[in-house]
Amino acid sequence: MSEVTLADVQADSKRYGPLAFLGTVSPSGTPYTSPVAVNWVDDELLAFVATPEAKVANVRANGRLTVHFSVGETTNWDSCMLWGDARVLDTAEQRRALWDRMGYDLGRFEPGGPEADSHVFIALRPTKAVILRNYGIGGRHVWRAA
Amino acid sequence: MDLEEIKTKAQELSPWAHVATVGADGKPDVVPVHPCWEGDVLWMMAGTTSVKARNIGANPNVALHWQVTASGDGVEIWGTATLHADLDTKRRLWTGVFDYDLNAFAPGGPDDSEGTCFIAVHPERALFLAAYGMGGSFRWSADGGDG
Repeated sequence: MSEVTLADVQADSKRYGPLAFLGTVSPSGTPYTSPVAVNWVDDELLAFVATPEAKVANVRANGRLTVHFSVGETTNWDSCMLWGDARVLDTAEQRRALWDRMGYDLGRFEPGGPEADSHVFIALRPTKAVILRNYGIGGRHVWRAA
Repeated sequence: MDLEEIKTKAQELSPWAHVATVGADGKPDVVPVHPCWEGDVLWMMAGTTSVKARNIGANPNVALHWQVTASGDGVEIWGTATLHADLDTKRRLWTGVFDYDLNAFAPGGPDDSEGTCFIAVHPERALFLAAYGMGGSFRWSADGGDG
């Protein structure tokens, strides 16, 4: 096992494509996971999602969130995982500040633009990350927030 | 949709899914797995000390989401899970249920793989989203509701 920096984790996470599987927990203790497009903005990982989605309600109730970037043959079955605390950014001001920072056109999914309340951002501030090479057979790298 | 249609959709998408579990401390965990169906039970091979096995020991609720296609089709299944490390179950599952060679991950086979167990997921509800839901959402529930 070796220690890495958050910058190392951010660089590695970009190898897996734009989709990552978010894991959240409902107030009843039921887990949810679904693929979302994510992007780093400074030290937070952001996802732009529809307001009525279960993951939004889950994060509002329990900010603990995990992310597992898509695993596949092209990345040699490596894994990049994050854990941390998430919050929902749901004001027009917050949406305006992030609207052009996701790396794709959010208007395709929200024609109403940043003023529309029907989409929000989920922002994850990671506290721990693990990178596994080839299921961990090829190495394990860990980052923890100070 | 009925469960057979959900199973068919999942198998068409990918052999891979991401399983979400919840720890005793309420933290979620998501890892990729290669599950296989035996009737209406979904099985996964796991390490007995893996995070997902420990989490299921504390909270049996699980969710699995299959890899999505380029067009955004996806299947998510929710259910309850049980852990099985007994020799009879391991011998029964070792051949004929999984579509890959379990010996690649546990060379000792069912009789010499103390660190290996199986997770059985009993589906309770499922959701098929076509094109991330823009093409429609279709639900199944074991209790006959709309999921």
